[in-house]
Amino acid sequence: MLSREEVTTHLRDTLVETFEVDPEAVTPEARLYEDLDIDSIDAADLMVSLREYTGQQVDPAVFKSARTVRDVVDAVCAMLQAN
Amino acid sequence: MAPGETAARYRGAGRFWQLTATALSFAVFGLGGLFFAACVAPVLNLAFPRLRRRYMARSLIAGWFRLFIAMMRRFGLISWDAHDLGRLQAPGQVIIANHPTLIDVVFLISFLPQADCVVKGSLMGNPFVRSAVRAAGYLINDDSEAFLEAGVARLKAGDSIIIFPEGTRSPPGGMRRFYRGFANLALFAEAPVLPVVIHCAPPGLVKGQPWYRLPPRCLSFDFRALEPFCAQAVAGGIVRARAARRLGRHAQNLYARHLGQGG
Repeated sequence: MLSREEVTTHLRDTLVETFEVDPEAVTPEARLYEDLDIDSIDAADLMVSLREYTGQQVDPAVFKSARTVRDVVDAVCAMLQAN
Repeated sequence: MAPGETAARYRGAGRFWQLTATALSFAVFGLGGLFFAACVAPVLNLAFPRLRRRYMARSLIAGWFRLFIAMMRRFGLISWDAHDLGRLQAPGQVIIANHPTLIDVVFLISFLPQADCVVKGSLMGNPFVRSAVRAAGYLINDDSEAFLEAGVARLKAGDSIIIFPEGTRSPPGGMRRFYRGFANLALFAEAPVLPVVIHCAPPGLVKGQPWYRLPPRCLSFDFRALEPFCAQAVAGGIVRARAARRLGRHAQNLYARHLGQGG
């Protein structure tokens, strides 16, 4: 199973490479919409990318309620553990 | 006051006239909206199928807006110049514009009556325009995938969509950072982007200023349609998220150049 570190690293890499986020800005507390300039269409793409990475369906409702980078990592790890 | 005197400064009695004429113009605008809600919308709803109704509503709205603009011009409150607006007529374009004044969209709709338009959700709380917005089927931007899908479908059906990438009025003499909604629309629909550059001097009807805070003289508007550009040509072959960002920057730089700003 993927570790929390692996999920975090993947998320950071995706944010930096695909969404042109400044690597320095990706902290656990950074808010996706306000701080990292992710819009709702970006969020949908991010969800697809996480699904491809984990090989598991991410619950859109849980994902939509995620506000910060930490929230996203938490949601993905909780899902990995549940399955 | 004759249109020829429009460059004159308002002083004394002229100031009083300016205030009265402005109040009258906005009153006519507001009454038009209420009349639409009370009389026009119910008839359209009863008598016509949805799509037909939508285009009829847009024609009526454009007529109402033209009346408002003609009135303000007649009163010497505004004047305008237009360049290359024939470019607006091509179907299925994402028409973007900077947003210096309250009445930019009034002009744009008067230039292109059948256009679709992206409006803020908060307009649905405005009793003067709510009914017209609904009847015309203008798109409410709630930054959702549903909005994007609806917009793409309209573009593919040949509607052009007017959208202000700044999301709200520009700060006086400046420009806000562009949202990428217009870029996503253009990328998903493979639609051309047509930039319209709007100048208004002196600054007037700006955000946060009540209508009765009058400008020192007649507002001269200048509308210029630039060469449309193809989203794929600017940002083809790269992942959607990066393409949208590149298009956003491309458009923002274009406006910075035409408005004579650094960024």
